[in-house]
Amino acid sequence: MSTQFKILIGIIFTLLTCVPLATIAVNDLGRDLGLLAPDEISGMERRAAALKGREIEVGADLYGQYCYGCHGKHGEGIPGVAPAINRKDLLDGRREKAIGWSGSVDAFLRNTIAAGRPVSSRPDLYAAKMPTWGNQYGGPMRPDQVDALVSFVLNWQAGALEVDAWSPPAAAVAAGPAPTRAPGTAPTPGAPGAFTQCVNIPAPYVGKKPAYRFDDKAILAAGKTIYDDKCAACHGANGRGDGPAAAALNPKPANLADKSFMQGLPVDCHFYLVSEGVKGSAMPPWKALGEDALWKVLIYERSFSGVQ
Amino acid sequence: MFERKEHPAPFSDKMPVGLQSLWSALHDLRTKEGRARLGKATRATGWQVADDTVRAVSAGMGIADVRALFRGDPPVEKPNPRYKVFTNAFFAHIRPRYYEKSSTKFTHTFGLGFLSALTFFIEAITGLILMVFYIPEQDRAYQSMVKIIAEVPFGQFLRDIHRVGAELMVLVVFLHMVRVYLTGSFKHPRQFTWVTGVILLIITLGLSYSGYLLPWDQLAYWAVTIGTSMAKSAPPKEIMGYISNLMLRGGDTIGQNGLLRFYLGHVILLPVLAMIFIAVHYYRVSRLHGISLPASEEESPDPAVRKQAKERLDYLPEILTKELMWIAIAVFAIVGFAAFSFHAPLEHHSDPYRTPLHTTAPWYFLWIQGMLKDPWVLPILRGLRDFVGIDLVQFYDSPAIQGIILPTLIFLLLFGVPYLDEFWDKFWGRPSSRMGKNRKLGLTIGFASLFLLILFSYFGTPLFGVSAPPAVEIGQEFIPEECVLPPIPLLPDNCGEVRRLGYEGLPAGTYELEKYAAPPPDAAPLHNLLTKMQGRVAEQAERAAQSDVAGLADAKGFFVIEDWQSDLKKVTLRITWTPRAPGDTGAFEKIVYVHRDSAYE
Repeated sequence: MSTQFKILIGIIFTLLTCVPLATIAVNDLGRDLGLLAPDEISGMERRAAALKGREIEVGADLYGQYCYGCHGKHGEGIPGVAPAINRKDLLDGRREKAIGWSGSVDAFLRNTIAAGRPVSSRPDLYAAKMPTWGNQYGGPMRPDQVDALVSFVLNWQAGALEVDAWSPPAAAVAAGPAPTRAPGTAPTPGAPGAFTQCVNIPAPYVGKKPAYRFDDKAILAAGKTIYDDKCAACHGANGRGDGPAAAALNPKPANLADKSFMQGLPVDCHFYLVSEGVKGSAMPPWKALGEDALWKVLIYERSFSGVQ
Repeated sequence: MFERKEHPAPFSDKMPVGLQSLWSALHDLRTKEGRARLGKATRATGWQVADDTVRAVSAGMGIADVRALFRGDPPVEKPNPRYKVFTNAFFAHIRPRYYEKSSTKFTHTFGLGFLSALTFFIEAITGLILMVFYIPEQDRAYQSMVKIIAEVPFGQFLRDIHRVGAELMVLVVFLHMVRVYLTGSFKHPRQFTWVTGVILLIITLGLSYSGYLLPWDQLAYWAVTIGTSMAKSAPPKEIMGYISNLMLRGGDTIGQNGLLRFYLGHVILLPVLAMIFIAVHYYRVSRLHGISLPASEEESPDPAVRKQAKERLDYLPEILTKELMWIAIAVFAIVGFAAFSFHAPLEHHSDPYRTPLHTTAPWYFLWIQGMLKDPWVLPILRGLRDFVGIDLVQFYDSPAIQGIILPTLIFLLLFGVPYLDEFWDKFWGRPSSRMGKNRKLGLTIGFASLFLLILFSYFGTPLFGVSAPPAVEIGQEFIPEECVLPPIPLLPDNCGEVRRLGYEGLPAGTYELEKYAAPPPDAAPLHNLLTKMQGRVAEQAERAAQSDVAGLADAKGFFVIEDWQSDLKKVTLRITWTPRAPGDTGAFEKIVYVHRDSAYE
C-alpha cells in the first residue's frame, strides 16, 4: 500500500467517524443547538425520562412493600390509621404552605419519609405514627430508595383528588379521648407489654368471643386475605413480626407465632388491641374494618401459634 | 536577517544593527528593485522560520522532508533526516527506526498488540473524562451514573465507549496471547517478554474487574461480591482469607470502603502498573528483539527467504501511516458500534439485601465459576474414593482449591510456559524451533487449554446446572428482576418479554393463561406471550403428572395487568399449584411495575 493511499483511507475513516459523533451531538445537544421543535424530545431527554420511569417503578415496588399497609393501596389513606397521601393539596404544595414549610414539595416528602414523625400529627384522626425510614436516621431505606418513593408519590400529582384529610380537631376530640401519653408511661408491646395492655380492657370488650370456629377453613382463608393485605407488611407473612416494614419500627411488631406470648393474650384482649390499636406503638386501631373482618383476621393470626 | 548594508544612513555606526537594517529596508521600499529585493528577502526569511519550526516539532526534518515523507517520496536531505528523529524526539525514540518486513504481515500478528495498546489509550482518555462526573461514594455513585446518562452531553456515549473498550481490551489482550503462543513467539530470546505479557493480562483483568463495581448497581455489586468471596477462601483461611477479604472489601461486605478501594485501584494503582509494564513490554518488543518473524521464514532453509524476511521497512513513513490508518479504522468501528448498537448496562441500585437470581461473574471469569460448579473432576474423584480407595475428595472439594489455588497455579503455569518449553526441548536434546510441525505437543496443549477454557466458561453460565424452583424460573424467564447480561460480551442484555412489550403492549386485564393455550394466527404480541407462558406452566403440570417430586401439580397461571398510576402499570404473574411437600406454599407471585417511559433495550 502506498503512503498516500493509507493516508487517504485514514482521512476517509476519520471523516466517517464524524457521522456517529454528529448523531450523538444531535441526540444529546439537540435542545441546546435549537434543532428540535418544542414538542419533539431529544435522545437525552428520552433517556432521562426512561431513568425517571425506572425510579418510579422502584418507588412503586417499595410502596407495595412498606407503605400500603397504612396509607392504602393507592395512597387513599385508611381512616383511623394514616392520612391519604394521594391528594391534591399535599402534592401541589398547599398543605406544606399551610403548615409553614418553606421548602419544595419533594423535599417535604423526602424529609417526612426519611425522618418520620416522633408522634402522630393528629392522634385523634390517625393513630399510627409515621416511622423513620431513611437509614441516615436509623431507618431501613437508603437515600436512593427514599428518592424513588418520593418520585412515585409525586407521580400521583396529575390525577390527585381533593381529599379532606385533616378535619378540624374539635369534632374528632368529642368522639374519643386523645390517647397521647408520656413516653415513659407507654407500655411496650412484645411479650410483657401485651399483658399490661390487657389489665384494664374496656368493658365492651371483656369476654368477647368469635362467632366462628378456630379451625373453619373458609374463615381462615378470608382472614388470610385481609391479613396479607393489612398486617403482613409489619407482622410478616407468617406472623413472626418480621415483615418488610418491621425493621423501621420501635417497638417491634408482636411475634404472633410465639406460643408463650399468645398464651398470655386472651382472645378478648387480642380483639381489643386489634380494634383500638396498641398505644405507644405503630399498631393502629382497625375498628374501621368492621367486627366481622377483625374476627376473621384474629382467627387467622391465632393459627400461627395454634393457641386458641 | 539583520545584516549591515551600504546605504546612506543618518545614524552613526554605533546604532544597533537592528535599527540599521530597518532603515535599509525602509530605504529599499523607495525603489522598484529595492522592493523586489525586499520581497525576496522576506520570503526567504519566512521560509526559514517555518522550516525551523517544523524542524523543531518534527525533531529534525525540514518542510521539504516532511512533505516527501507523507508523499511517499525518498528523503530530500542527506544524511537521511528521518533517522535523526529517533535520537532527537522522545515519542519517536521509543519507536523502532524500522521493522523487519515479514514481521509486519497482517496475518502474522493481526495487529493484536497494537490494538491492545490502542484500547488502553481509549480507556485512559474516556476514563479520565468520566472521572469528572463520577463520585466514588456509596450513596451517590449510582446517582452520578444516572447523571452521566441523563444529563451530561456525550455522557452515555463516553460510558458506552469505555465499556466497549474494556471488553475489547480483555478480548484483544487474550487473543494476542493466544497468537503469541501459537506462533511460538514466546521462545528464546523473548521469554521474559512473555512474562511481562502475562503480567499485563492479569493487570488488564484487574482493570476490567475493578471497573465493574463502580456503577454500583446490582450487576456490579453482586459480580464483585462473588469474586471477592473467593478471596475469602484463600488458604490459610483464618489469616490469608481474612486479610485479603478485608483488604479488598474494606470490611466484611462491600460498602463505602470497598467502593473507594476499587475506585482507587481502577483509576490509579492498576493504570500506573499497566503503564510501567506496558513500557517494559513494549521496549522489549520494539527495541530489544523486534516483533518475531513468521517461523516459516525465520527458519527457512533458503537463505534468500531468510534475508528477504529481514528486509528493513522504515518506520517513517511506512509504519507510521499504516498505524494512523488502523487507528482511524478502529476508532471508527468502536465509535460507530458504541453510538448505534451498544449501551453499557445500568441495573437497579445495588441492594445488599436482594440477591438477584443467577448472578454470574463477568464473562472472562466464568471459567472459574465453571470450575466451582465442576461437572467432572469431583465425580471422578468420588469414583476414585469409592472404588479404588484413594480419597482426594476432601482435599479437592473446597473453594480454596477450586477458586484460588487452581487459578493461581494456572497463572503460574502461564508464566512458566517459555521456560518449560525450553526445558522440554533441552530434555530431548533437540534444537528449539518455532515451526508448528516441530511443536505438536505444545500446540495440542494450547488448543486443548483453549477448548477447556471455553467449556468451563460454559459451565460457569446459568445455562448450566443451576436452577431455582420451577415457578421461580418461569418468573425469571418472563420478568427477570434485572436485565440479564448474556455470557458473551457486547451482546444486548435480555430484559424479559414482559418489559419488551412495554407499557403500551400491556392492556389492563386479568388473563387466565389456560384460555390462551393456542394463539390464533394473527394474534397480538400479548396473546403470543400468554401462550408462551401457558406453555411453560403446562410443561410443569405435565412433568408433575409423571413424577412425584418434579414439576408443579395442576399448575395454573394468571397474568394480571392493572392500571396503577398515571403512566404506570402493575403486572402480576401468579402461578398456583397443589402443594405436595410440607413447606410448599403452592403459589408463586412475581410483581413488576412498568412505566410508560422506562425503555429497556
